[in-house]
Amino acid sequence: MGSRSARTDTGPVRRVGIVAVWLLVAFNIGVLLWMLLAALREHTAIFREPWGLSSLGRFGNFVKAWSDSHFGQAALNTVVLVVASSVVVVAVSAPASYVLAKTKTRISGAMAVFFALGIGIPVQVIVIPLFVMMQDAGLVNSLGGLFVLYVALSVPFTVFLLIGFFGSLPEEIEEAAAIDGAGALRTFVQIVLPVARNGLITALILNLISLWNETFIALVFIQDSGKQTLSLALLGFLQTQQYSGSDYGALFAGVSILVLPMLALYVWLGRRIIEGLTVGAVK
Amino acid sequence: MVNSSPQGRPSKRARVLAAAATGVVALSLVACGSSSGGSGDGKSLTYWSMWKENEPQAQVLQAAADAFKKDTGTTVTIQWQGRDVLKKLTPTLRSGDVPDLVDQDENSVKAALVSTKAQRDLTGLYGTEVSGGKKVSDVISDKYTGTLKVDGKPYLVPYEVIGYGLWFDGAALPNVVSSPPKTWADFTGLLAQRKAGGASPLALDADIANYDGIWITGVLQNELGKDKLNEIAKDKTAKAWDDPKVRAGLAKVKDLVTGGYFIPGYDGGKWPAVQEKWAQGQADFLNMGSWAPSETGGKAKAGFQYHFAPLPKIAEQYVPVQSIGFAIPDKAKNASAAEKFVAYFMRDENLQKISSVAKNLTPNPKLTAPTELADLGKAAAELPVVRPLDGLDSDFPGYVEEAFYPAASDLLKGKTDVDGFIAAIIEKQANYWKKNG
Amino acid sequence: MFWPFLLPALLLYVVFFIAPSLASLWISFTKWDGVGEMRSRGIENYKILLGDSAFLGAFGYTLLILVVVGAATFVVSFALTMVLRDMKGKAIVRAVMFFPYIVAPVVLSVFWGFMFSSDGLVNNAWHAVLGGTGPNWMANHLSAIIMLGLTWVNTGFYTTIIMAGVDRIPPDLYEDCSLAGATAWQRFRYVTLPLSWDVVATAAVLWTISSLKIFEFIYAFGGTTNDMPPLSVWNSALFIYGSTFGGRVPQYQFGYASAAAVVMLAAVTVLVVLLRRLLRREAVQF
Repeated sequence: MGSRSARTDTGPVRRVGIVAVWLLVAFNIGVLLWMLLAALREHTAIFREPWGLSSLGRFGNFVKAWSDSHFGQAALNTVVLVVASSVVVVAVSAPASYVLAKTKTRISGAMAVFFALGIGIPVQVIVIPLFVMMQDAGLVNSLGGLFVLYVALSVPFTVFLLIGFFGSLPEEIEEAAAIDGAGALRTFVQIVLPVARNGLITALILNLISLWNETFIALVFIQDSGKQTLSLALLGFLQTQQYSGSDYGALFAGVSILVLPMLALYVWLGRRIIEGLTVGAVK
Repeated sequence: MVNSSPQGRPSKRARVLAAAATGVVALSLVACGSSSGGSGDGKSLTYWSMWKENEPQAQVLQAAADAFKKDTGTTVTIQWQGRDVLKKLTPTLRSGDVPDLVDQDENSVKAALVSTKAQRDLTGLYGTEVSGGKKVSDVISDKYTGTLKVDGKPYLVPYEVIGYGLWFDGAALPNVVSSPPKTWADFTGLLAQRKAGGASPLALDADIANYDGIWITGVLQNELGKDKLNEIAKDKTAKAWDDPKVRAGLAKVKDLVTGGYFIPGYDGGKWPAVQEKWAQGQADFLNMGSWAPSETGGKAKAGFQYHFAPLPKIAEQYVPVQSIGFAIPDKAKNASAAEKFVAYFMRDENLQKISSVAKNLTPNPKLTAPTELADLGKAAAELPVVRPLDGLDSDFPGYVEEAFYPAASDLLKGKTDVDGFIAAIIEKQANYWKKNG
Repeated sequence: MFWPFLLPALLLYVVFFIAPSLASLWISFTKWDGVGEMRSRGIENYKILLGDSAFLGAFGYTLLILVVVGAATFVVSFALTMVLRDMKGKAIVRAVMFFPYIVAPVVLSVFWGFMFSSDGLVNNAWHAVLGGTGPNWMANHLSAIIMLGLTWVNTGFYTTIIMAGVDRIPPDLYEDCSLAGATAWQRFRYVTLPLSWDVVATAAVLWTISSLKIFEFIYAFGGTTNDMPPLSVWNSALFIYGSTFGGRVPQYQFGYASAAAVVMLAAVTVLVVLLRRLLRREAVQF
């Protein structure tokens, strides 16, 4: 009854909204399809009729992109590196965000802004001092060094994002825990973290995605092609389009190879957020 | 009130985190260590290349490195870094943990190595014997080495030469192959005739500012003479642009735009859309560097015959050329081994493959040019050469992006006229010198 | 437990982020090519910046993106959240909305080019509906279509964040409201907005700061992988890249670029502090 009236009292606006949403969904799916179909088409056909379907079925594009750009090793490097750094950065940032969100002091507010500012610092500006530092530490041209950088450079964004999530968790949760006599660490690990699971997963996914696509740091800090990441391999592949012959079919195939795993991940974990919502938080 | 997760779950997650963390520490320990630099024993050297493995140039260079190993016992470790090789090099220059050999085009090398005084003086290398009593300096045409020196000391040994001008399909325009337009009037006459016949005479991806720019500098070089544009760009007030001969040259470009000679949509798409249309025979001439055939070759329409004509004579006629070649950082530990490899690569049997396999022009005029670039080889041998963009990009970093290109693109896209171009570039050039002067 | 919880993140941040940033602050008072000696030049870089039309243009475009794209993104994201709240297929819709954010911006940019080129989809539609050939988007309205594209890309991201906040609101609250006869607007105004305010405030600050770093989507309009896009669409990140590593012949002006970053960061810090103050006061009212 209640939900029924909720629906009827906003009839026309809501219907327009729903149509708009589905149009946008159709548009986005269209873009995805376009990319995937272009990845299976022949170069000249893509330019002759960008919206057509002629020459569909060039699976060789994927083979070409994969072998020409040595995606195999790069894919392995990237998966290990990106998963490890995303997990670690969330693990490191969660407690920090928690105390910053829950401690309402001057210093915690200042700290929150201090972390947030890091999001706005462009890496191009700090890359040279960073390089000197990493070189002294012997961490240039190593995936371990890149891991450290990825974790460190993702901290500001993650802390900032999680402060928002922890901040909007109801106070009663800890109050209840305090009544039970639980210590701060136990409260955090056993009570807060499970409740904040959705926020953590969101932070994890967002880090996975941005690190998966990260190119500039990897470009500067990785020197051996055996250690390169997927986005670096793709960049190299895109660059060979200049001078050595452009092939947009293979280009889109290369891009699809980069995009599809993230898409699958999002579809998969995105659902977990919804599941988590039904059990978590306040009733 | 609180619907917490089942017990044990967080600790399980913590275990996973811990496992991941330890795994990564182990990974970092294993992966530690540097690949650049090398040991300095002279028996090996590290070479960072601008090419990727699958490119023909890479295959040629790899084959030479393999042969070099067999002949001399010296191992050349090549990292195929791709086009951004110098972006990787710059941070390493400070510490000195550098590769022994790099390659890129002369402008990039100049910006990354020479401007920071981190290049090795290659005078000795130019005097090194290649084979049969010939030195490196004997197998490279003087035409190309003039711009490769700083204070009289060479910093680059070229192995590939890029030439700029008009590319067209000889099968579609046989008359142009036999008698290319000699004067500007010939040229515009030909364009008008082609347009009247229903063709689109000129192709241009106008979103690439560099391609807009080379139209203007190409015409102005032929109008004013060599290095004159470079002089104008040095003027702090930029008033030197307001000159009758400059105006005459700009008017020629503007007339191409207002004459409707560029293929419809040239100013409203994204590279390489127009270039593709050109390769499919939908437009006649493409003003570009000699990568045009290799970039479009694989996908051009059947029977496409690549031909080249320099921009027609106005007061002068030039072929803009630019070299791609080897450079050695002064901190390289195996510099002499690197020099030996370069000299080895300059042997005819190696360098010829830049032409036969990689389909590019070599700096050695004795070697045969690939069929696609035969006209270019001939023109470069006969005509005087200039730097593309008259060296504006190379001598004044940032100048083209912040001053020249915005005005150039507006002129080529028909968004401004000669007066507007001059007004815009005077403002932007003055601004450039205000901050770089 | 304040410090033990905070310390690991703080240490990482200070060592790998703040230390090099302070180094860059120092560098901003010098002329430095990244390799040779730094030459101290006092506040010269800053003086030059304020008279540099290229930088001022980039500064202006950054702020324009911040305001215009930001406003558009938040309006659309909230509208989507409201529509999606109890819509069927919400999970799928959200996943699909987010998709542009996952894809390498280069591809989106290429796609956007195909959309808006003279013979692209948009002008075909224009021709079919309105007749005529339609505007030359790429040559004459590049800045506008870039902002439209950025809104499209970011909407999915901010919708996801805002939805995660809104979804935590207990459904029974809405049922109570409906029973009390509240309109959709009233429910939004008195339930949704106040209860998701923390997340919205976070998202707004996040957008303000991260809009500074928008880079790839604009950069890809340069066409190839080493050409800068037209000067007229440079934002501060592109200006910084153009002053250091960007272009066919890079400038490697690390001192000057650092000064530009410092100025941009200072401007945004002021904005963020103002914004936080504004958002906090709002939140107190509920």
